[in-house]
Amino acid sequence: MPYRMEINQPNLADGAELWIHGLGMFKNGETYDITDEQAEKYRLDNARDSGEIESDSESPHFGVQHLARELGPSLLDVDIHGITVTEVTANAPSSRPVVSSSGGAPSDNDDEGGAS
Amino acid sequence: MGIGISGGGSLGLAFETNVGVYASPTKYHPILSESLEFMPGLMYRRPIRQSIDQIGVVPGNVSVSGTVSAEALDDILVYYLYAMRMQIVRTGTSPNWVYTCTPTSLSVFPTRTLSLTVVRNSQTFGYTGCVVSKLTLGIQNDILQADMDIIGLNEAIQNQPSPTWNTTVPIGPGQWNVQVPTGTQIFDMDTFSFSIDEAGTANYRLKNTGANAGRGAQFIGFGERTVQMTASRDFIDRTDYNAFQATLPQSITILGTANSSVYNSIQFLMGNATKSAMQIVMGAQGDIVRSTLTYDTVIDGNGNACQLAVNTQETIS
Repeated sequence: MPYRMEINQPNLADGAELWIHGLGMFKNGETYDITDEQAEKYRLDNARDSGEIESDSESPHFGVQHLARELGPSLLDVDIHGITVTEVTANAPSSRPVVSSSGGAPSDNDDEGGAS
Repeated sequence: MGIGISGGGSLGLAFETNVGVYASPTKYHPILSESLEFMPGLMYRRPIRQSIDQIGVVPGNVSVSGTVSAEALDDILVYYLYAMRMQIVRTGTSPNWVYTCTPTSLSVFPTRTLSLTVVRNSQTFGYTGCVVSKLTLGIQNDILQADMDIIGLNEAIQNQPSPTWNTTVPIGPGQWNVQVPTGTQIFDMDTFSFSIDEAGTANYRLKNTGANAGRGAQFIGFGERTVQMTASRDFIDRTDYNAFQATLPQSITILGTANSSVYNSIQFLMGNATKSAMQIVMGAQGDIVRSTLTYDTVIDGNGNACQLAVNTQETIS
């Protein structure tokens, strides 16, 4: 299920660039379509290690650090200042022109993360 | 939870509507380091009672303190200036604003307070009632760095934030206009460190309500302000040294322009600075003879010890 992301941070001018870890570079005041693949990449890039140290003293792995990767929250579950994310149903209208995320608006290499 | 590294962390800030009441971040900025710390102020009991050990602990007055070090980005610095004792006037037209910041003298309180949200190893720390007790702007690794000494009221866990990052850049080599005195550009300074110390302290009052069962500071107050600058210059002749010996005040202006854009700059002016120390040292055969200067300020004709002007596209209302 793709998503639609409206960016409107009141402290930024329209057109000001902002970078979201896992999604890429966007412009304030624009609306973007986000594909399922991008949304999944967002969760992957915001994953965290939820592993623990084995605490069972009877276990042969007692005291060993277990690695476990926990995906980050979905775009619908996060609260990003000035950004509204909605699920898109087929051909859902938008109040503003939508920039296709496949059209190159988000950075091709969001790991660059801008200059700051 | 696994072991984390600092690079995965973040710091966000927001102005508080009510002092000490947490506000979710509205702005994030890259940091070089932070050391915000909850200060429990414990009192260990050592009465005489046939024991030479501490016999107990009494929960004390709590506060927050630490330093946030960051590249001095124009869109960020303004937020921290609001958390000092500044009168800030915004001029210009959207999107290019000029924030002119002049120290005020009539209050012990900052203009606004901040909530600082720090994520360390995926754990969220929400620091509230934060003010900037001391701001230091200096050249570090050839770029302008800002060190904010923070004092706050309290800390509590908060929801994990989701940052967004802006693309402003710091002020680096080739982007400086140093004027000593103001109006005369010089080309022999390579480092400086400018500081405004508001002498902030946590103030506790006898009470039984509020955060931490009433043990939080009632407010953070500011004391006597000190504005100073240190700098290093090539030593050419005795002109400046004679002024030092004669205690002649000077007006000093330093302007840094980020990204060669006149709309992204940080300028500070000391209208009435006096050199309180001037060391001219020969260290080794190959060393360039330089002077190390310490400037202290007194108020100028407008009653200001300094003035900062920040040009930025950040809209703060």
